[in-house]
Amino acid sequence: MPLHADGGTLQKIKENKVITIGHRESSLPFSYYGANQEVVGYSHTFALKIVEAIKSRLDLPDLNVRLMPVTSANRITLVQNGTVDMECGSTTNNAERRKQVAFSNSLFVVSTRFMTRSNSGLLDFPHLAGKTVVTTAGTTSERLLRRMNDDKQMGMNIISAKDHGEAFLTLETGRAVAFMMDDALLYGERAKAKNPQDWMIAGPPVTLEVYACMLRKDDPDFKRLVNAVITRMMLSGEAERIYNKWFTTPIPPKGLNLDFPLSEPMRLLYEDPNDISFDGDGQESHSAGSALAAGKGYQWNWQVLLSKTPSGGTYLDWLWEGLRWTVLLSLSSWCVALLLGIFLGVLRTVNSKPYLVLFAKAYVELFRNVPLLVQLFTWYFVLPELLPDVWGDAIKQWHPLWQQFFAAWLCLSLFTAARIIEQVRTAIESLPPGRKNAGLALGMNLPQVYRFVLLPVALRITLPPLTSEFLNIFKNSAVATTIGLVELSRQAQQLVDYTAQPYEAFISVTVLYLLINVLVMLAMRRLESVVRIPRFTSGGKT
Amino acid sequence: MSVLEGNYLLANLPALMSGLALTARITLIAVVLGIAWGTVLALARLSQNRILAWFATFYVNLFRSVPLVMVILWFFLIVPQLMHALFGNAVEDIRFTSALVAFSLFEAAYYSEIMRAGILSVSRGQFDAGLALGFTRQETLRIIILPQAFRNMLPLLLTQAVILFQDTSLVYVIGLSDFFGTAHKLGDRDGHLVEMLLLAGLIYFLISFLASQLVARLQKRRIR
Repeated sequence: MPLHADGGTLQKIKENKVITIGHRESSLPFSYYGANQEVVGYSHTFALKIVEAIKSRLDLPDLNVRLMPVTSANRITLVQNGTVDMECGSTTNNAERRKQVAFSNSLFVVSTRFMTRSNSGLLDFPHLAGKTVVTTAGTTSERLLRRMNDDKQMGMNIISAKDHGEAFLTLETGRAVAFMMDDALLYGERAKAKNPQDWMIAGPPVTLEVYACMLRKDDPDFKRLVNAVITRMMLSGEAERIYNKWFTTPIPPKGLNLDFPLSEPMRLLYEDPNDISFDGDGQESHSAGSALAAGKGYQWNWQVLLSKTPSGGTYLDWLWEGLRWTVLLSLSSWCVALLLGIFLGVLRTVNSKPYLVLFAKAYVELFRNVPLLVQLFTWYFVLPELLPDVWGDAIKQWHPLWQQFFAAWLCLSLFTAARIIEQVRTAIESLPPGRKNAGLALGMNLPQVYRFVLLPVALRITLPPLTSEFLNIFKNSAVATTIGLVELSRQAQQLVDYTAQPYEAFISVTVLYLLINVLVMLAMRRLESVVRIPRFTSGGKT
Repeated sequence: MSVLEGNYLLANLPALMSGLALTARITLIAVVLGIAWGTVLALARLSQNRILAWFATFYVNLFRSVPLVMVILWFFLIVPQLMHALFGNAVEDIRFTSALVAFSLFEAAYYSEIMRAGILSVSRGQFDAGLALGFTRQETLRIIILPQAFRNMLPLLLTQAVILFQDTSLVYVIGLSDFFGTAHKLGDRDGHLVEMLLLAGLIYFLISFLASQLVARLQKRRIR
């Protein structure tokens, strides 16, 4: 699908009289929300200056500027497919990305370091061996960390958080001992802490990286304009004033000071603006394999699934891993949900004990009327804080994957149980009251009546609706992607970020979900035919 | 709890309210479009045209087999491309549009099942009676069958709307600031995540609970 086969971004902006700028939501102090949810930051200031230059170049003083928040997992795709014209945040310029997009002159030079508690005694990367380290998903720090872990066999547990805020929260709540990220972002996150002095930035600056604005590929006109603005700002000293505003004086939203003095590489950049990326060649690559080069359609490449991942193995292994987590999570939650659901479903029908009925009723209402996502976040973020410190801290010491798994498992179990309760109740209530009375008349007590008379029939009646709940639990397990569990839909997003081949990734994962669905349906149909009571139709309520 | 102290909530009320408004907008539009498209699908499924029936069955089964999260992500990928192809570059907020498309198409699969049951709940005799009175098939469906099907299924349609209202929180995966997204973002930014999550849960609970109580009441009155 050609986006702008003729003319480039500038032409597009001129025709539509609108420019869409991608920004970050919590990349302090580069691009983030200020006190009133307005976008501010060092990189964003450059973006606004560039917009001014575009306005005067195109003679469009009232050009409509649209701001679109992006995440590190979708920013490349959004620039490629034309949703966003330019993204100025904290995107690293590297060779892999230059296959997909173009970069402007550098805005900032950073090095990858880590943040840890001031009293942790962790000063260098080797100290992190065997520890739990958090980083942000889809960033170059994540790749660096994973490569370091594999190459040096450090045995670190690595958590990939959705964004920097979540990563710092993971560090702050003790789920990880260190947060590895670009130093500037670490200073930014530190400023957000309740007590910034509690945290220090450590580790020698090993790798230099540059942040730059991301543009579409093969659009020299637009790139020239952007670069001219950046160069002019740096040479005139304006850039350094902007730097001081964001890095050495108090900034919104809380008026904190990052206290991050101008580094030597930054001083060099301001003296000689350039687009050198410190990762080999600084030139824009024109190699094949880009998903949406200007003027060309989508390039299918199924073989990408067989190519090597940064952590060894192929992307197919990622899908397999995702599938295993999805199945494990769904099955284990199902077992608990079924037991709990039947148990509470029975209580719900014991009318002689009103408080039991009330309890089961309240349970159902509570879990039915709060969105699954909110429940999941509650179990993941809130539960460890509300538990006694000893327990909360114990949970945070677990392997990160198991923390995510535990929260998702608890969430799905309790949520699904609420739905099973209602189905069990409906089934039991659909049985003629004569059955219960007959059982009691035969001298059975109430538990016996349930066990031998009511449940054997009621459970068979519930089988069809239970099948659909069983299917639901597999689908609902996808929500666990939001807390970072590497189940199927998370892997789909990771694949998109790493390979920039979104359709292949999504189609593969969708097919896997369909496959699960078909298998479950076949298995349940089999079960239904095995346990069916001959000549027994529906509930018997005539 | 510190969130409840001072003016924190008051200061952030506008942001939270606009988040809630977005949630309401997505819910309402998706319910209307979902029921409309779902009714069409239900009719297609019951029609004598094999191809139509096959398509509707395939559509419904496909959407019912895939997690909503994946559907939202899919449409976030497809919709921008489609919008470019259809309208050039004049596109409003892509995330909102793609969320609307995703929810409408996804919910239609569920609504179509409800509407199908509703249509089947109207006795066959009424259809024949309509034809006997000289109505065409379409007229019979539109004037006699569908209004009754809709009325019979109103409680279920509304219950599904409450589920949809809760599910809109999943727009979190494409970074849209609905009510939950706003609460989460504020809590995350200001270090009140625990309180804001609990608050969000409480608000969702109150709205959903009240709504489902109203639906239950409606249902009871129906039966009486």
